[in-house]
Amino acid sequence: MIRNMYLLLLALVCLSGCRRQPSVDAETVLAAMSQEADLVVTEVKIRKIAYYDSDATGRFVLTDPSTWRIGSRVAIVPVDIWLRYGYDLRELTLDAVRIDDERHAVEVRLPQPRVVDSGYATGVDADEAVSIATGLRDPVGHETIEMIRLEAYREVMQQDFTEMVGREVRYNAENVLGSIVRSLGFDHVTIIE
Amino acid sequence: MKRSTKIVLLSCLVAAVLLAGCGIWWLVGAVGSWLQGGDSPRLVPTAAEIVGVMPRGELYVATSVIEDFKSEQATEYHLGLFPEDHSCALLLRQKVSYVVDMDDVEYEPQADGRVVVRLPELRYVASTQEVRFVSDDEAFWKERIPSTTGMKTEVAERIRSRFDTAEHRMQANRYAQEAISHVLNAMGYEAEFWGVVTGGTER
Repeated sequence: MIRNMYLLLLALVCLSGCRRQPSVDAETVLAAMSQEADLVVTEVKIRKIAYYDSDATGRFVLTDPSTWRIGSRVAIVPVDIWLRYGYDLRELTLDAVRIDDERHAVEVRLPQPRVVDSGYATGVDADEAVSIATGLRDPVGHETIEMIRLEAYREVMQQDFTEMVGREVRYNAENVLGSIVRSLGFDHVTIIE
Repeated sequence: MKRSTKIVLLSCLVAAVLLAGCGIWWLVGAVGSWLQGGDSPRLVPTAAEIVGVMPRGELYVATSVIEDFKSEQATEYHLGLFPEDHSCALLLRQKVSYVVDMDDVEYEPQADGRVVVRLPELRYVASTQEVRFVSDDEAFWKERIPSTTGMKTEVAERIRSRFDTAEHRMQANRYAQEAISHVLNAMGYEAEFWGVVTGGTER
């Protein structure tokens, strides 16, 4: 009887030690080099002040020890981000281009512009980043700074700036394509969307 | 003692051991969380400022996403006697591409509907998508490595060496020819490539 109870106790201890295997997020598969034909015509430079305040974003919960804090951590890190807008030229078909021989002009119907490339500055300017830790909190180190910068980049990527810069993108596309058609002997190009 | 009483007592003992274990685990977590940074930081909402909108004229012809990392180890001595080993790693993910500067492309229309095209040398472009720094002791590594720029530069160079190869450039040049041909075909022209591009018609 006692032996059975010991076995049961052992089994319970073993079960409590078993952990579910952490699931791996099916993130982007890192592909081999892939073919593209994206004409980038405009770059938008954005500056985002990443402001992290553990007091502002955390909340005290009596039953959750991870929310118990003695002190706070604050970090202000400016992040330089860029978005490059352009067009996928593979969507340019014969129907999308009309040649006007009389006016020596070319009319092009371009697809919708999209973000072709984006990224944020790899380096951190130590003079511009500010961090403060009080109480028993660890100083804000590289780990937290990089997480803050990544979070700021992701927040910017969720926003849509197309409406703000759409006219500029179209104007620049006209200039780039205009340069090509002028090299071919035409006078100018008109962009239709 | 009755059998049923023994069962009850043993069950209570098991439950007490489990509860004690959970309590100890909870306490360790609580103490640890006082000193640790906690989960992924949530930012206070701030506005994103557009500081510039600039024209560009580049054709992206080939792209890939590459990750690499660099690790460091160090030993810290407490009171000059007791060693403690520390480790850290910096992970860098970049989107890397070959681009053609459209301003440098030369076109020579011929009488028979052909256009002779000279493409410039492809340019390598890298855009950082993610940087992560992982370590066992954030405070130690902040003091040990004041700036991670050196590590990032080293990893970025390694990423470049993996992508920017002669074979990839040849392949990307073919993609560039296809992209330019596609545009010229849409305008009713046939492209013929000379000069820098390998594998094209050279005279």
